[in-house]
Amino acid sequence: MSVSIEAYRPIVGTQFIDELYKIAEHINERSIQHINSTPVGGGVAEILHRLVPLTNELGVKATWDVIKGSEEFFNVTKAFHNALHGSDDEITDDMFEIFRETTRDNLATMNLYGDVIMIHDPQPAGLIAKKNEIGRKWAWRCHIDVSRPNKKLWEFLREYVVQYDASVFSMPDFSQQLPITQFLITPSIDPLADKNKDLEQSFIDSILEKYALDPDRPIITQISRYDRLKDPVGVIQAYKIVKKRYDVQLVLAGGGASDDPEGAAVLQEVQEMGGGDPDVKVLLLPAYSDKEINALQRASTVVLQKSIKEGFGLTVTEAMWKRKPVIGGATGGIRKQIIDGVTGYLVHSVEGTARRIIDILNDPEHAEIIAGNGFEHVRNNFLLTRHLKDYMLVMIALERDGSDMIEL
Amino acid sequence: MNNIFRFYTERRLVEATGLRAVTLRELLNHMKKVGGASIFYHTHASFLEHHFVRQRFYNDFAAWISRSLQEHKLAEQIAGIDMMDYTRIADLRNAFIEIIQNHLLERKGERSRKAPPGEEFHFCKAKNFIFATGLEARSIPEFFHCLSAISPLSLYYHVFESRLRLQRTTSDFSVWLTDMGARDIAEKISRLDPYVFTLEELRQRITSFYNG
Repeated sequence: MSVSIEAYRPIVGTQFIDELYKIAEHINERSIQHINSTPVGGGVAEILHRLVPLTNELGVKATWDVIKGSEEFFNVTKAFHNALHGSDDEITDDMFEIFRETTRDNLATMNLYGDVIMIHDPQPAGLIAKKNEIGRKWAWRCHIDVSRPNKKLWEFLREYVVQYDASVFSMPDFSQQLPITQFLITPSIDPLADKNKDLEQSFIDSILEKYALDPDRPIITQISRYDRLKDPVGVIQAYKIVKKRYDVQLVLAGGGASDDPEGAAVLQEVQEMGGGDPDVKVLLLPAYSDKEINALQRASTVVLQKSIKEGFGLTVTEAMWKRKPVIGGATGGIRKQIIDGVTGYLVHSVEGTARRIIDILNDPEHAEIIAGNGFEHVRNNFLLTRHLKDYMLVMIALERDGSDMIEL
Repeated sequence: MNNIFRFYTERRLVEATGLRAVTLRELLNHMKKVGGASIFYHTHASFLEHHFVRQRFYNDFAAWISRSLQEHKLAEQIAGIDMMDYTRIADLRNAFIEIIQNHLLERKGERSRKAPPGEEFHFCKAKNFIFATGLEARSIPEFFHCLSAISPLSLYYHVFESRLRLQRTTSDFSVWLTDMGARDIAEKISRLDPYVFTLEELRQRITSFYNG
């Protein structure tokens, strides 16, 4: 079901929505065609599901197409994804050949018609080969953290990327040495999606009951995969320090780890550490648990994202949006979202995390001020409507000269 | 004389320049050659993103020098530069360069500090898209009525962006109000240091000059 742009007016303000219409007028009938590799699942598809109808509603023609590929191709691109994140997965020449072959198949069958063609992530990046023949403006939108990419793979992808008119990365840290423009567009959350929308108190209560959580005692929560980089072990250690003098509960909730042996090991370790304490809930949530996650965040007194390494950290954004005081590891995009002591707290250690939890428990009024600042920060900078605005500005920028000041 | 004040606003797209620094010397070298748009960006972006709260450093250079290089004295010196003393980005850049060069001279022979991995300074800049809000004032009461209705970004454009990037000695508001004969109000606005307020506080402060 698509949500109207008007539904965002009370959230982001009428001036902002009016500005979106104004910007759309300057796009002058040009269209945008988004292309990615999957119609469902994953953050990119989630965003496009919302963005494409909203763009159309503003009067800018937007469409979305998906490339086709065999299981073998998607295994290759999964390995690419991991290697771009800096994993040690071996990247072979055979993989490159499979990538080229699928690219050729898609080039032969796909209709590339947008005035602006925005290619999302590496899987469809090879479609740029069509540029010489059909022209148009091409942007490569990279959603992945490529701050430490596998060198061999990046050299391979770079050959495609440099042919685009512009690239788009999510953070300055992910940008590269490239001869083309590199726009920076941070990720966003949709305030009206199941994961973030307002919930009835009765639903929140039902989730607390389901997991045997006591609504009258403080709840500390971390929502994330069972991954060492998210430091769930450190979260339990911090909880144990706090628990000595404060009657608190801890919720660790994350997605499945069935195809991830490392994740399964971390989960087991966390379960063992929390074992025996009825106030520690280690939850393994199935896919599509967005509404439950939303409820757990809303029921929390403090939300943690004690990551050791993080791309952007959308769970921080989500918690701030729910007016929760957030304590985050001082890394990656968490640093961009949290100004220490202003929009949340940044920590470097288990001890620091425990200290900040205690501060929040002892001074709820100050915690509320910080949470309110976090909420405003998200409202101003990290909502879907800002993403929509940025994509329209990219459309305009691709048509104009390289000037830093563009009068519309 | 054109006595209509048209309120404009702006939206930005941020661009990475590809330049990054790990040490103070690298920061200095890039600072010397990077475009003026990048210097402007790093002295205003954080202010704009967090325009609803006051923060310790809105200057990205100072924030990075403090956080990632732990050079707190230098960070305070950089942050302490009075932005209102400058109407040209080139002069502002030179002021930063001079402070950093002096610091390096004082520390001559000492090993330079490196930002930890993942905390490099990335030089960015913004592409600004300026457009009319549709709000126009033909009289001083109309002007203050519009001022209460414009977005924080529109206020930012007229007070910060137009002054430094279009190299005016004062804000758009003061120029127009002077032309309209409200020299008193114009001077009060010119004397304000807008960098020490949130944008809402700034709006209230400017409005109080009229009401008061």
